[in-house]
Amino acid sequence: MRYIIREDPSAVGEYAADYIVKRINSHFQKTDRPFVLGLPTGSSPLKTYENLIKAYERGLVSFKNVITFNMDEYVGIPKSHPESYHSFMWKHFFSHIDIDPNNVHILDGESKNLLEECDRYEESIRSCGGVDLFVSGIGSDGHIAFNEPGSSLSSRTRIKTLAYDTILANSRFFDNDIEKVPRMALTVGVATVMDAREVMVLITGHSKALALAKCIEEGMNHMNTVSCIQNHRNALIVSDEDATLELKVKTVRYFKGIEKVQTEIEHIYGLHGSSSSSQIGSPQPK
Amino acid sequence: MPSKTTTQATTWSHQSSQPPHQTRLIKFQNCSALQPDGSLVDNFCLFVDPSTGKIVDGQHAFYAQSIGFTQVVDLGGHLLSPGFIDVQINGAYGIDFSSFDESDETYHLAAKNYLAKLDEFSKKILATGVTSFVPTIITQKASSYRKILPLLSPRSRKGQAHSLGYHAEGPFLSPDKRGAHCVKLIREAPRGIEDIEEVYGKGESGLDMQGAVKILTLAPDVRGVMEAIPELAKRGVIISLGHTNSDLTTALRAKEKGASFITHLFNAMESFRHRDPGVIGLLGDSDEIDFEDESGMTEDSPWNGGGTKSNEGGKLSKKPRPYYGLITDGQHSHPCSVRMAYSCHPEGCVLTSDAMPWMDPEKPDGIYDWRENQRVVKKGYQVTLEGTTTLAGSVVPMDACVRGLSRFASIPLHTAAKCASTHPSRMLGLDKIKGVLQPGADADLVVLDKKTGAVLSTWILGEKAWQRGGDA
Repeated sequence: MRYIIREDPSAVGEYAADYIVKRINSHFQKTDRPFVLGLPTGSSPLKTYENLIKAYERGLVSFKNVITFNMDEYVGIPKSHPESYHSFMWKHFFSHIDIDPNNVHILDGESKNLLEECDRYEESIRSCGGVDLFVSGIGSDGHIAFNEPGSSLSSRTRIKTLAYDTILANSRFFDNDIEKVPRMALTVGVATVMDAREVMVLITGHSKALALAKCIEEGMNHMNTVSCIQNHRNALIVSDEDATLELKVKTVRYFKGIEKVQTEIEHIYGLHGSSSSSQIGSPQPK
Repeated sequence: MPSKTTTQATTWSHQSSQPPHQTRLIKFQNCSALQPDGSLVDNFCLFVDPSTGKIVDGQHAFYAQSIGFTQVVDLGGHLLSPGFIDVQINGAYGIDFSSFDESDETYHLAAKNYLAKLDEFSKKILATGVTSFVPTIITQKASSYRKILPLLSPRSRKGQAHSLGYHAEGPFLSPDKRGAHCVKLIREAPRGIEDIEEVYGKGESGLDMQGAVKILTLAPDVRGVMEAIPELAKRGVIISLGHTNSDLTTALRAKEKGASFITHLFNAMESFRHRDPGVIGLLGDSDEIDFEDESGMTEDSPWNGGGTKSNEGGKLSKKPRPYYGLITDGQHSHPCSVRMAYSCHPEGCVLTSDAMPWMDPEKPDGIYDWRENQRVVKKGYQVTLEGTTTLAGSVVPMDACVRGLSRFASIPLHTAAKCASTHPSRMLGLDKIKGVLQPGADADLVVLDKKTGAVLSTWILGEKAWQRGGDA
């Protein structure tokens, strides 16, 4: 696992967007196959989307041949609801870029048969050849997508009831009325995310510090579902300084120290050593 | 390798079995936009279907119909408003809607010339931000209405402002308040609706023109007019009170019978007197009057405007306050009067230019011929009958009215723009299709400089029809 620390959420967003852009562009240097990108919602990725849009507007990246799969969607509110994840993605990303609507996949919380919808979603991911890069945020309890504490680390796309914590946290988007917050969601499973060829987790703010510390310094645990990235062969965490507050100083120093070395390796071998080196830059520490 | 890639590409998307959509949307971005509720949203995106010229819900089109956008229009951070709708405009650029040249040999030829001028006007007026208008005919010989009105059925041409119908101002006006209207042609309606039908004509080419905006400015104190109002309203005519001596009681009664607009407020009507504020008093009408309240007002009270008593709690069930037209050229109403009217009833404010043929920012001040034996003096935004102080309409472009209202009433530019777009469309009952930036409405748009309020570009059904400093 690699772990990149940046000053604040803006710098995290810049790094993450820059990384995604490089990843997409290096992919298309090797193949015409669409790039398959997994996407999160919530506050963590906002800066990343902003920077991706800027990169698109500057002509540094195109999403024409990118297929996206979102992590989750509420059940019980229409897609047009301002707090639906369909609306979020439209507002913060899709309405600004050149993506083909046919290539966008978001779970349908209005589906008549939710079980079938979940199975269909897994099948769609498979038929696209799997996810190249899954971007994720986490909740303060360490959940990825809506895989709340106690979720099976082998879980697939399914219906989930939301934890009280999550409902409480989300009530700010629903007139501060807990009754209005949806109780259920459709979500990709932990294993669905882990199937991706690469996983990038964005973690910002001191409220996520404990979950981050557990994820990095403790063992894999279904009470902190993000910790399963310890088992992923190609995982990357990007956090701001605030999120490091519960980590040991030693841990922080270690990861800051090896970033430099990693950079040198990427200069020689490209991202993940998977590509010829010369054309591909590497993330520079700011 | 390439062929293999192609095959794969078609199977990767699970929706790719659907036929590809030909339609692609136009996206207007980077603007602050006036919303139907009057708020201003920064970083707004508007999506338009070029095949229909309608505003669409971009999110719904994207997810439900897989329709994306291909064309992006960057509005440079300026103000996006629905196009202006002028419900009282007599002409401009040398064109007079009331003038029908009967020297032409045949009616057919005269009609053709009239429509050619209407089209010319419809192009030129775009420079003032107007995307829809209601040609206004001042008091005419009875025979002229039958010739002109049939030509004013709704007209939309590519790259032109929409002509929505007609506004006939007169001849059923109070002689005392005739303004610049010809005294010899003003008349009463002793036989009520029959007289009115006789003037404007009935059926498709007159009062019953389908799908058209039909506005009549009437004086309810003129014999026979009040009784005819309910019948006119029933036939879809918008009744506007104007050029009238009415006291408040008469005005309230006319409103209850169906009048919903006031023609150029303050002008050609009784002045505001606090014990009988006349037509102007309609702006202060209460939403409900309790018959049993302490004021002792009864159903017979002279101040009761004829509202009908509902069954619930002795409350009056009343028609809402009417919309009112304001010409904010600094001539027709003092800026203080404008601010008073606006403050009193902001939601009813409808900006009108009342522009005359001399309205043309290129035209110099001077004396111009008008009708037989009449000339007018144009000086700045003022036009008077020669040798008098009687205003003969205005020469103010609509965009200047918007800036004027913004200054006079101390309101933001977008709030003033609402009075030239959303309010007139509501007054006309067209607010599902005009005057609002919402899905389903026509993409008739005006882009205003966010600092100066100058018109930068005007769009008809999603196509640029005019832009500052160049051809569209």
